[in-house]
Amino acid sequence: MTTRTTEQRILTVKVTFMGEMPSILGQRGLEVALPEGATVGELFESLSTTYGENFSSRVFCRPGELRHTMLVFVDGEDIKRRGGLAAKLGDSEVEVIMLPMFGGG
Amino acid sequence: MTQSKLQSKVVLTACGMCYIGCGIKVQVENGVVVNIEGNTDNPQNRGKMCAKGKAGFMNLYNPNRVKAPLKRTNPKKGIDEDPGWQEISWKEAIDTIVAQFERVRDTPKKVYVQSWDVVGDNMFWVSALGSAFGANHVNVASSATCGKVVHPVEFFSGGGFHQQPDLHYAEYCILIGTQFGIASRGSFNHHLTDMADARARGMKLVVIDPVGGFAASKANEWIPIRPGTDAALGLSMLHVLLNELGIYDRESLKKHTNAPYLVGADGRYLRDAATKKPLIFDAADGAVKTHDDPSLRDPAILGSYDVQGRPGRPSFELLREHVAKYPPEATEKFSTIPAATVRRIAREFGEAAHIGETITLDGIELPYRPVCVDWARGTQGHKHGFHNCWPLKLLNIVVGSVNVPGGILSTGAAGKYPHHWWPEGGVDGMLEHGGQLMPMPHPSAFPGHTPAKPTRMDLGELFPLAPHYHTLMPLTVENPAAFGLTQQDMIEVMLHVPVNSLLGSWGDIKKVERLYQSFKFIAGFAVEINETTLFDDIVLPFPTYLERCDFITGMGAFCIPPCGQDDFYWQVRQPVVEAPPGVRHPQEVVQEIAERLGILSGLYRLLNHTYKLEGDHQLKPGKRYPMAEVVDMQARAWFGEEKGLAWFQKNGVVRHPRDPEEAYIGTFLNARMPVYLEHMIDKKEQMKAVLGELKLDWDLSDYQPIGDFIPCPSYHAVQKGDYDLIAVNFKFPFVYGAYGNENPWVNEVCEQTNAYRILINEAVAAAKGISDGDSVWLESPVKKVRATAKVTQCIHPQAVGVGGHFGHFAPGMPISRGKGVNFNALLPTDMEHIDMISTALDHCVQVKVYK
Repeated sequence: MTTRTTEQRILTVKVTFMGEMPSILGQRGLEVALPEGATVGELFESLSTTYGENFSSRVFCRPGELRHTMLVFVDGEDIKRRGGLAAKLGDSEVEVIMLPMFGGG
Repeated sequence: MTQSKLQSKVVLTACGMCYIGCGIKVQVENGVVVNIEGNTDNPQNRGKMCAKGKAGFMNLYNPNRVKAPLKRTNPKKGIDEDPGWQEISWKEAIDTIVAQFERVRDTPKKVYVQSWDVVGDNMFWVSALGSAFGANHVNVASSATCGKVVHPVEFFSGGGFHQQPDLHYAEYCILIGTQFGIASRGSFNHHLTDMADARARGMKLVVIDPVGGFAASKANEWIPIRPGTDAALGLSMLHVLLNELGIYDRESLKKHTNAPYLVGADGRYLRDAATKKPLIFDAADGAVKTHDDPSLRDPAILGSYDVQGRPGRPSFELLREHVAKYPPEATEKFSTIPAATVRRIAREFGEAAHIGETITLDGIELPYRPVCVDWARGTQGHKHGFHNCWPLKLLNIVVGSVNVPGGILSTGAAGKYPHHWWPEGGVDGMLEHGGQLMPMPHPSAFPGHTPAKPTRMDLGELFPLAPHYHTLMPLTVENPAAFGLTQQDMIEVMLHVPVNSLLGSWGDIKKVERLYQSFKFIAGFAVEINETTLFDDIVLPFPTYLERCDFITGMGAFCIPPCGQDDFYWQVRQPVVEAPPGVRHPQEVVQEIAERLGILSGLYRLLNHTYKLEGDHQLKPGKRYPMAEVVDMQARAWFGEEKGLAWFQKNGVVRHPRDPEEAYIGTFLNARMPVYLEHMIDKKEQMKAVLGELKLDWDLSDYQPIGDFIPCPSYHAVQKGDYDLIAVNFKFPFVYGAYGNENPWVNEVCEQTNAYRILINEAVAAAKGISDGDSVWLESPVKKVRATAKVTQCIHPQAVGVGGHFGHFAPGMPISRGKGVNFNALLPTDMEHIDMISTALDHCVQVKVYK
């Protein structure tokens, strides 16, 4: 759903957590309100504020870069095809997934 | 018998008797499998078969196979408990599993999914079920005792999953703690002939191992080494090469490694104030530049420099200085390898490297470095496993033999068909992003994650450079509070594939028993009732590889294929015979469980990503698929509409040539390999802070940019005199892992070759009054077992060799029950035996042997 204020349109972003995220956060998803024009990076800033270090230390390998175990889809499309964290959001469904590492012990 | 079975046919499919997946032709007469031959068209094995592969179809007719879902009626679990199995319907089995998952839906970290089914698709399907559910304890093709170090190291120092000597061009090959190309490892049947050809061509093969086994028998030279002292040897060889002989590939070190990165007094890189990039001294113009400055012409790897008032030395200079502490005379007392031998081997290795020479392949000039040191499980299963291995990789790096013709190649690292995948650089210009055909996150010890207070039962948060952590579970379950955990953090529900982890993936069997007893509910797929299955609450029958349909037929095609310019290939697995009534495709069972849990769309999201399925080839929410349809869709997605399942059923295998750029990526990588692990400093400081909060006093001495040799606890135990021998495990080519132990033909091979016996050195046996064939006690600090002695000259006098994964005790395995020794059960399992970097469990253990 999109709401309008006198100054700025607000986006409603539905976030679903998968992989290791629900175990880490104790939550399977939430809705986040963001200003129009917001990016995935700004969504992650918002989530870092909501969940604190517990989220940011696990999701980022360094400032502005997701760990290689992270997989993010916006409306079904991998953000790697949309410019990564710079990908623009609408009233989007975002899947935030932390996969286990593969292979061999 | 139906009319359709009254016929002869040959079916092209893939072997499933180990993780490799050789191409096979299965002969079926009137519905009965009567023979298996290798498929000569398949590059994986080129028609060759091993003994267990030939014997594989006997598993199909195992009279003790599980053919219906079972539930236990005895609530008490234990090694000696009879589960009281009762056959139940599929509905009851799945109802029960779904109810248990529902019970912990709000705390998904209480679920543990163990997906070590590396034979086929279930490694991804079962793990995706766990990830779709939100579980964080999910093992994807990972075992507690497999590639704990080699994969995390290889991805940051080679770019791929594993390493592999380039037998096409190698002139000098050293195998340390591995029987590559002779008795084990990926693409085993392929490399047998490559190894034979290389030896016939004149390649010198040196095997350094406590056990003079199959590999040693084919080598020019076998050098016995005391278990767990490989780093002592490696550091001494580095010293001889770098400081005594001055043999190293200067150009490779300058261009392709962080050897020229300037390091300050605090051990960290000196960085550009504005960009924070590491700095290099350019000897060409005397200027200090960032590592990626396009004007760099002659990066200095020796000397010391002043960088705006800050002293700095190239990291290679620090490496040279560090290894100078390890002259062969200083390490001889640990490794037992004479100093003169170390010097000779180092010299031979260095001289055979042909540093400066090139070779032209398909019109492309490449470095020619026909030497390699290869290592695997034998070197990594130690208390200081990471640094026991790393100097061995450095030997390849310093002579420039990584990913070039004749050297050590990174498996599955890059390719252009059917997709494009390639390792890439990352932070500080270093090799960070490994290459994998399947886009699962690769295990890598660089750059690692930020340590944090643990909430995982396996303490994953406290091992920032390890890919998997399950070796810790038997410890935390004993006393969660000691690690900052609570009972709420403990796993309650486990789902596993038919891996026998209880026997083969952990250590001290009493602790492992208590771990499995602590799980309130366990459901597992099973072909037979093995030791792990004894602890299950629900057992789901699992089809054999001759009854299954898989798009992935093992690890051999996508992450451990033959390297060099051998063809890329792909095959699928198709059923040769129908599964018994009541046995379902496990992927279809996974779909049903996911649908019942309301996570089918999540499962498909993950699988579509893993298998790179797009558009019409995607698995779509709201629908369940038979496996034949899935495999057909996957094949068409990757290889074109004309190459669906039917094409593979008829033709067997897709082949595609690899060009030199794909085969030898070293020259083409836009990333540097490390000779200096600067990130260890940060990780150590981060760990100290977290451990301080938890009031844990862990030894972090292994977190250093250049490792030291530190002996294993078994070394000290022997020095102290409480024990006089060190037990080690080794592999047989006919019982790789535990695959095939219950196969009557494999058992016959084991009995005829005395594989069930333990190896004791002839002189040691004589001193103890032990003769060949004697029954003896084998006693470690945690387990005492009866064994039969095989007296031989082919084992280090301080070692005892325990081969294979034997010692079964499950009543459901009457052929293998009571034969041989379960090596893992001998291993003490505590923090003193866990590598603080990789979480590897120490696999050399002090023992006594007596009558």
